[in-house]
Amino acid sequence: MGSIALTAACALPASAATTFKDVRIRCAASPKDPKLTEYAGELALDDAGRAFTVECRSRSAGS
Amino acid sequence: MQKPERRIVTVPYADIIKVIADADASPPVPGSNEIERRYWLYFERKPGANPERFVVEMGQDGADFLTKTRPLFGDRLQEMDFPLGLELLDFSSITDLNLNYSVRLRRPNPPFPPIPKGRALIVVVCPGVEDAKKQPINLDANGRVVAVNEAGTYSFVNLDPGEYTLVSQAGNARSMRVKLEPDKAYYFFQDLIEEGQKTGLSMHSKEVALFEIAGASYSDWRREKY
Repeated sequence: MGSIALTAACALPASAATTFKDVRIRCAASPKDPKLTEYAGELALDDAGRAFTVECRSRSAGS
Repeated sequence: MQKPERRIVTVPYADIIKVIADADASPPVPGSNEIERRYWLYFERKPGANPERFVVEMGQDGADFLTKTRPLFGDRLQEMDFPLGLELLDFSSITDLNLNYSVRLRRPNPPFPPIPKGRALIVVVCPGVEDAKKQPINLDANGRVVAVNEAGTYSFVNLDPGEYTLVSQAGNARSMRVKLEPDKAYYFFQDLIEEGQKTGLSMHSKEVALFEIAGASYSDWRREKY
């Protein structure tokens, strides 16, 4: 099973007004494992100002 | 363990307790005079959120991200501006090189030290990166090696207050001038460049540093060659 700690908290925003590509995300491997894992990905802000989304990609997923 | 190839998490602004934005600037790339700013964005969410804490590292876009989200985060956002770590083109003056040292991991990690009265605490972290070359990376303070790390370790040292030139040295060297005040703690990263072949040097907030330390090992470094 995958070790990523990020899980979806709610539905995705209907549309993303602004996207920030080529970011690096670091988070704990799991709630019980503090070792950090790094992902490539992007951030997207929603139109309504309620949430932003973080897309994480492992290296094998490419860019 | 294998990581899933792609995952998306939605982070409601209302779930965020704290955002710390550490910014610094990289030296210009050859052929350009432009300073490139980098941003480390630390997010802390309500207890029970998964993950409760994460860090996003961005380039120049970080300024735009902050412009757009500043009104949404309000006073939950703290913005920190740190001095630039400069590439040291001639490091022949560094006589005590990293190859003289070795790093062993001490487990469990020792407790975080208090700051002795009248002195300053320097905490140095070398963030772990998958597949990074493992080699000792020195931190030199006014000509004396005071910490040595490798990818995924941290060290700490107490120094007297005053002005210092800090130099992080591996296959290259980066330097930073700092003024240390008594009874204060300072946090630095020896950032890995080119898969650990080279080192950066950046200064950070306590939150970003402690986030990295939580997943790192303490460096029990020692001198091997004289």
